[in-house]
Amino acid sequence: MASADSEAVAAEREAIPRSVKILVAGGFGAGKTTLVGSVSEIEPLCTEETMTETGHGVDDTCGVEGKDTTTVALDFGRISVASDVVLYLFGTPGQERFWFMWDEWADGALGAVVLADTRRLDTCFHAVDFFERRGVPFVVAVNRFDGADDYREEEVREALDVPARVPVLTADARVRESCKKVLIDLVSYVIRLRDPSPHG
Amino acid sequence: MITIVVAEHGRAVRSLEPERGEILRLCHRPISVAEISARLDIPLTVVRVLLGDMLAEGDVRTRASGAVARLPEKQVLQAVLDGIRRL
Repeated sequence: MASADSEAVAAEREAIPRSVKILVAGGFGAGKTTLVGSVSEIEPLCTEETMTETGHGVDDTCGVEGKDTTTVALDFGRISVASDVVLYLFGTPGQERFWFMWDEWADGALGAVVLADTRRLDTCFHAVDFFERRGVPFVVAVNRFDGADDYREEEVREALDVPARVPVLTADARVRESCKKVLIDLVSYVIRLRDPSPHG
Repeated sequence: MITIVVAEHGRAVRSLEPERGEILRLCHRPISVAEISARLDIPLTVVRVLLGDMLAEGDVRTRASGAVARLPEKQVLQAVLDGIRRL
């Protein structure tokens, strides 16, 4: 028993799980937290990031009076996908004024879901543009809202000017199976990008 | 943000700084920096500073989420895909 215990301790010492993240971007009220909550194994948590905005990458320490402190709230959920891999889903605010934070949020992200609200498609432009430029693989999920016009996926693709390779699908952020499909499509897409062979 | 933190075995909770004690208690099992921030209601920036001190003093170990802007390797992606399918 003693040796089994010490083995267990040794194994535990090595076993810090690997963490990966997926960003869920979208405008205010697009359903980001709903989507996260639909698939998360924990109630979505909220963390706050306080940062000092130093003004668009200009390296000028003289302009102290121009600095501005901002607090951004991020909702997130967790899925233990394997014994040694934990997936985090972060709902990231889509407002343009937070864009100086996006580089950090996107750093190391496996991919992103742009959650589109067809009543306010313009709130997705920045997210689509950012992920394109930054090379973060993303899918566009059109959240079905009651009373919203039923857009076809192709119309959304055209309106957002999304390249043909990027998957565009409709989803219901309230429905777990629907959100699972969005994530499965995203990760499958990321795997295809990594290994474009037909057997991949 | 998703760096996983775990307390080193045998590190006693010292009463010097209550936040550090609470972090150490939470890190009894592996937990992400974001979760520590959310559960203790301490901004991420502050958690990072506290963890930096704790790491330097050997209270905790961490596992970063991977190299900057590098996609996870294929086995990890496959594990994520399988895990989501099992939900």
